[in-house]
Amino acid sequence: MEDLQERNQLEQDEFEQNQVILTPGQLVAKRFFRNKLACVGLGIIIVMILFCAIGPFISPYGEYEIFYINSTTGEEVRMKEDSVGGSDMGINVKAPISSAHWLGTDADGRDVMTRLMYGGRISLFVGIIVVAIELVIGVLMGGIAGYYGGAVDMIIMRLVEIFNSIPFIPLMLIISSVLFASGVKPQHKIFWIMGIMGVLYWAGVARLVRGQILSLRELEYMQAAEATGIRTSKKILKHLIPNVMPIIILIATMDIGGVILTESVLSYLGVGIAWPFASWGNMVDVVKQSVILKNYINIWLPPGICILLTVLAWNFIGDGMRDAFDPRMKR
Amino acid sequence: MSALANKNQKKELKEVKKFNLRKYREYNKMMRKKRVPESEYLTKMKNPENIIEFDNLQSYFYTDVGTVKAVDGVSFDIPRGKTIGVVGESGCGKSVTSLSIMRLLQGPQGQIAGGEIRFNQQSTGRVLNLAKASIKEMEKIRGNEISMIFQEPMTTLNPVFTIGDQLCECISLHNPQMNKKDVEQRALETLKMVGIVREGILKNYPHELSGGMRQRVVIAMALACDPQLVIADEPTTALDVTIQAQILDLLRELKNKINASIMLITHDLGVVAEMADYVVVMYAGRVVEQGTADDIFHHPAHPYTIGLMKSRPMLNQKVDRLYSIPGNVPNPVNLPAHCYFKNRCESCVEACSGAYPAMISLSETHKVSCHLHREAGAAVRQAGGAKKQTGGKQNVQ
Amino acid sequence: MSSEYVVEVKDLKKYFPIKSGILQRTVGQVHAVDGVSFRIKKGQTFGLVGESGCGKTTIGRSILRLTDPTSGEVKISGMDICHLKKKELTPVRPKMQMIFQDPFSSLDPRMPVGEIIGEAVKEHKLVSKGEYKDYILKVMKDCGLRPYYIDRYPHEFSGGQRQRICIARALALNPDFIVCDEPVSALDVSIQAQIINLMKDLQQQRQLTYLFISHDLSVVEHISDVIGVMYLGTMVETGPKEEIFKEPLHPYTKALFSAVPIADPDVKMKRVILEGDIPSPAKPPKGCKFHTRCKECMERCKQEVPTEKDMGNGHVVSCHLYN
Repeated sequence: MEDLQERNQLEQDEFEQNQVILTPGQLVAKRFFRNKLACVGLGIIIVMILFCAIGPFISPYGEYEIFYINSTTGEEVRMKEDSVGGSDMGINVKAPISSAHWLGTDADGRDVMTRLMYGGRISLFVGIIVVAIELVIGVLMGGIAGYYGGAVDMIIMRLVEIFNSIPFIPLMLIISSVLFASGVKPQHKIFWIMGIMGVLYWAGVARLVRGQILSLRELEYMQAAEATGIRTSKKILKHLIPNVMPIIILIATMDIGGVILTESVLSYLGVGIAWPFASWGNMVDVVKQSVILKNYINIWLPPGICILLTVLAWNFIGDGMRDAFDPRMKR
Repeated sequence: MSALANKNQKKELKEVKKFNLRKYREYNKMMRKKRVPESEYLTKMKNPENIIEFDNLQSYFYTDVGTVKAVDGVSFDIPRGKTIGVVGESGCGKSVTSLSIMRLLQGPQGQIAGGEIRFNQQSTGRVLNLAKASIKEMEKIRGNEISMIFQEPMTTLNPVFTIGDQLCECISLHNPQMNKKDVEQRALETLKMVGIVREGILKNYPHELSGGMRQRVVIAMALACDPQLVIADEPTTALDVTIQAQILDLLRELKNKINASIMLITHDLGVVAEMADYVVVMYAGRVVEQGTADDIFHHPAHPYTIGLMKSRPMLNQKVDRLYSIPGNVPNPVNLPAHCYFKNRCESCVEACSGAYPAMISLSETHKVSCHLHREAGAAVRQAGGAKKQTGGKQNVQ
Repeated sequence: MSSEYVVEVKDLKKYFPIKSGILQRTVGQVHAVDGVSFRIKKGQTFGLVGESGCGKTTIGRSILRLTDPTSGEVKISGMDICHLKKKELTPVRPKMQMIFQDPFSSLDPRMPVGEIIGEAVKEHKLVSKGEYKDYILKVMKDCGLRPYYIDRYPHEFSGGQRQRICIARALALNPDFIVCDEPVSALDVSIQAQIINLMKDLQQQRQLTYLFISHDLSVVEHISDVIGVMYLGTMVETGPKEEIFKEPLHPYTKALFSAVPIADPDVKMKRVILEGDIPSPAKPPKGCKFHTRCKECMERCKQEVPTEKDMGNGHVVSCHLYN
């Protein structure tokens, strides 16, 4: 009988040892890549990043290079060339799609394709930086509030409520005019905007992280860590943070899309990225002129599509992440 | 080597997915069908005394890793007015069996893949195969002729409605001819039956009641429409011992009053011994042994049943060391062809490596699925169903 | 004398404040544990039984200082635990460990088994670096875990194996005393027996002292040497297992014992069925806490709190019937 037991055990050992073991991280990745929409989203984002990062090096034109046209010969002249300045020279505005300008030129005579690349850089950059800022502040504040509780928690949560009740768009309008009045250079304005958005957005993150930590703290493995006498710093680093990570990643992916959208709204309102720099938002903003809206789709549709695709892709990724982290949430 | 294995695995997974998709589609098609002709689900009972007959029921879950045969060829009967106890460990398919009766499996992943559940409908005198009956037919039966008591009373009751709302809704839904006053009267009567005679109970919300009270309300809801069969899925597991005693007492009393059958699903052998007339022991989706309470508790035949009994410490019985069944329940995906209990069994014989053992009758009521009892079963057959002689003796150790 | 008893609990109280309103003012107190005293001899198991909400888990946690008791005294191996500062507590921690009820939430899902078991060993520097891996493997072997589990993650294990990992984690610190908070109630019957046997074996090998908290009387009877029955935050009866099961004295104990279903259809026990429900611990009844449900309630029970009375052989009961 002992023999039989032994044999069964060995059999099982062999079976179990041959099984492919996956770490929780690998499991998440596997579930993520099984989700087709999430993969599509990831693909779109990668293409977008490549397009915006490498594109400008390939494109022969500059971001705010204006093209002129010789009105008698119909020949296009670049800004650098000496011949600019003749009396028969005009700006090559709203040029149609051609082999020189794949998406034509805009109302100021700049190459739309090239601006799309530069604009994408700004939009993606803004998204990532703002989310990074809000995560750093939010996770820190939420973590402190959740872990220590009591009065600290109370103060931080009231702060969160205050931040949550600040009307965002009017504030941005005011800040923008203050920046303009105090003579901040257009190329620096973008950093100001990113900073302010990040500082304003941390409240939501903090609330989520705090909730997560509160529920984790009550779990028995945290109690066990306490009972075995593990240091507080280690408890936070080895138990809390890895288990809060999913929600942090989730917030990050879900928020990037939102931030890109907000940035384009701001740019559209003229509060965001200033002329002459491009962002997808201020490229779309030309639809304010009904002539362009009606006749020159090639100027405003591409940036619109870019915004749509990017935000959609981030949302797909976020959805995929959520399902991958917690398969039970899926229906 | 491992790359090849990996590749094979991937291919397998793909096939599983394809297969599942086909099954899901079939299921959805079936669900969408509005009118199912009666002839498709009308059958005949084997024994008109039974209220439910399971015949080779198969309930499968089509998951991404493969088909989980949660219930695989289960056959037993529930006689009228009797209590059947279904015992087994978690994951043995006892809850899935009961959900199959109600057709409440989570579709399209969970489906009844085969077999019959014959239901002797008293009100119409028909016999329905619940595995195939139309949704409309099922809606009439659920809560009306077959009702269910769940494990967790807090989640069974809706927290935003009062007890009265929920109970009255349940009654008026199945008795549309009653007016409001009658319904309320009926609700109070049912509550009285389960031992709640409190002023204003109908206006209470579930959270205002204690666990035991809530379970009483749930039982009242189940009994409100005079069901023929009450399925109690672990009705006392979430309760304290003294409250459990109250509820069990209540259930026993009620059974005599309402003349219904009870299908009691539990992992607690003690509860079964107190309540059940017949016992069904399940393991890994199959019935391994069934019989009267006396058969199972005094003459257990299957090594699993014996192990289960011995591994449970009993009050006022001193043992130095508990018997423990070694190992774990097998993985429900890709179950072996041989007896599922073989790897944990201490009395394995050669035949155990062969095919899955068939059901063997040890007596008229006592059946077991184990190779150890082949001769005993043959003897019974020869003696023409003579009284059990060998069933228990072999196992006295 | 004190060396004989590993754990001494004296008049332990734990009240949880009930807060309400925006200012979070304390409006009342939940008397979770209300003056409990008991002692556990070295190498013995003290079984604590009672229904949900009677404060048995709170006792376990207070003894280990996972919650700070309101008042009272807890001595472990002669050392007063209650008044140590958090920092002073850390070196004492390994001597007292806990096994939790839910094997699914008591293991960090993002840590491999080896690390779960060894984390605290490293923290307290119990073994040198060279011996570390062998030590972990030995502990795992003692708990019936296969050596190749060391790199696996908790999600791959069943409830029984997870509970073995929990036991291994506690055992790796070489404790004297383990609080077992319903360690088997989340497991299947056949697995329960495995875990109970394992715990008994380990107790014999290592001279462990257990505080075994459970609502399951038959399990407690099997594993314990001394049993304490709790009702609503107070200990109503304590005594050696044989005494208590042979002759339960307190009316609550009697009711509790008779409520346990017996796995034998022929045995029809005479039930003492208690009426009503357990009162809320926020508003415990005056006098004897059990008087609202007691069949033998006297006028005196409603006014006076009964004192503990020793009936011989260490069998102590708090009931006016025996005074």
